[in-house]
Amino acid sequence: MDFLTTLPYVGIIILVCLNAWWVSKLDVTIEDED
Amino acid sequence: MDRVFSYIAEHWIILICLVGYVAFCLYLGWYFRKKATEGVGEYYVAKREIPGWVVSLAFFSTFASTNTYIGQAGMSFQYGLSWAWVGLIWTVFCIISWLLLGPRMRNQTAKLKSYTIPDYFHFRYKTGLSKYLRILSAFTILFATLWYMVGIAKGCAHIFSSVLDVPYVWGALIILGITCAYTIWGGMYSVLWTDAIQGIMMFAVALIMLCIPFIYIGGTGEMFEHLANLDHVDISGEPLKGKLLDFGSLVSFLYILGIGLAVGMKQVSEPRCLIRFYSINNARGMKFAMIWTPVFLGVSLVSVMGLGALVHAMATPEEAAYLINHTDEVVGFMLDKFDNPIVGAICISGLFAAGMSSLASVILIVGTAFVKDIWHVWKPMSEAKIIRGTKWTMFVYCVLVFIVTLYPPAGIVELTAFAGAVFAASFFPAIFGGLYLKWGTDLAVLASMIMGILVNVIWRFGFRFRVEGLSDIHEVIPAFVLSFLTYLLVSKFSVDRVPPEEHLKKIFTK
Repeated sequence: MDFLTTLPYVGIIILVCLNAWWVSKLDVTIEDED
Repeated sequence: MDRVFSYIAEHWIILICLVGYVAFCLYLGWYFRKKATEGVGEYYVAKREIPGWVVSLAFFSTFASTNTYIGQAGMSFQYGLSWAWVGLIWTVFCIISWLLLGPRMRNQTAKLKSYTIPDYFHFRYKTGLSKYLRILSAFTILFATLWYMVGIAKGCAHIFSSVLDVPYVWGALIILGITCAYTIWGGMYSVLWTDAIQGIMMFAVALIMLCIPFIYIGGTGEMFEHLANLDHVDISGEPLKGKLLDFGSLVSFLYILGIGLAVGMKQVSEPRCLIRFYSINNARGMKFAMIWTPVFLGVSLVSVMGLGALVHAMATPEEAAYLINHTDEVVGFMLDKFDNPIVGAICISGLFAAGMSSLASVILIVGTAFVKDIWHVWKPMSEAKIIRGTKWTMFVYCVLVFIVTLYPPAGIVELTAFAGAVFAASFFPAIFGGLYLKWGTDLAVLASMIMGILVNVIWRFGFRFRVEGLSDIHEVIPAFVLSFLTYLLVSKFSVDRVPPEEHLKKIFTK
């Protein structure tokens, strides 16, 4: 199996980890209806 | 009587799984029926009080459908493991959707008291024209949704008839009837909570299905050794050998990119996905969903997208020669060959969950679009009447879908994909511009919607299959780029139509 065929499987793990790290740093606020 | 007993004896495991699952969905709908009818806010967006984990699973189960778990999973039988790239691209769009649109959409729609995507266009752009944008987008939803619902109902009815020997007509009636019932009873509450349960089932089933070929063949090493030395043939009759494992040897990356973009973009433009953002209860819930939705979706997608390639290890050369031309039957073949009634029953229940979760979401979208964004705009009515009207609309639309499902037009899959492309190109600029660009105007929304629809039609029917080398470039790509550029340009040239500063301040300040 070549590198590019393997990439989605490894890539998905890296992607969701990076996303989790990025979201954890975000300041998310939610406002309610007036 | 003997026939009934022998039928039950043959199908009892799957019947228990399905009856238990369906009863639970109906119970949830019934449980929420009073709460849901307290007001439009409750029925349409569950009073914006749903926990993040529920919305997260609901987003995943709404986006992924039977088409993903059967159609896309089977495609890799023909295209090899490279097909998993499609799953990766879809996950990238899931992340973009939650990062870019989620929090802003939740906040702006709450401030504007918006309960649907079309009414967001109306309230956000706030002019005489924006009322007509609302009606235009509602009609687009009504038209585009029909083919999508027919496609899913048809897929589920076929599973019913093949697994439980139920006639196709009854299969379609059962799947539409049950989904319609719990959606009508509990509105957005029952849609989200049943979606969450269905999401859990779908996540588990994706992992179970991935394990089946490995267990059958005896392990990872055996699997890849087998796939590297296959004596099967590809679609053109050439020996496959190890091509399933080589990137791009059975499908071009441009084609993968086209399908990845065309379907993935639905997450940033289709109302059934975007409406999920409206219902999240608080910042903690939003952050949970922003982190975990890509995990649920991404892991499930890469598990099922490469499944077809792995099923080659379970097939004889004769079986593979048939399946390579009938990829929709690959998952069914795998379950038959594995021949474990309990695993089969769990997987079939998961496949129904995938279909019903997507159906329920769009049934509600159709009801809200027709009643609140067309009927109520034309002739304002009380909240009680809006809810009653929405319920009747959903029922009538489901009857219409049932009739079309009995006589499905040719090329329903293409129609569904085309409808998705129309959504992506005509809704995204208006949504993104509304959330981020204070200088976006109603005229730009109208121009970009028309441009999106036109380019989709012209590219698909005028260029794509008539000009050599363009067949792999899906219409969504030029349509999306041109409609977005149109939005920006027309906004710049119609600055006098920017909504009043006071209105923008209310929407954009934290």
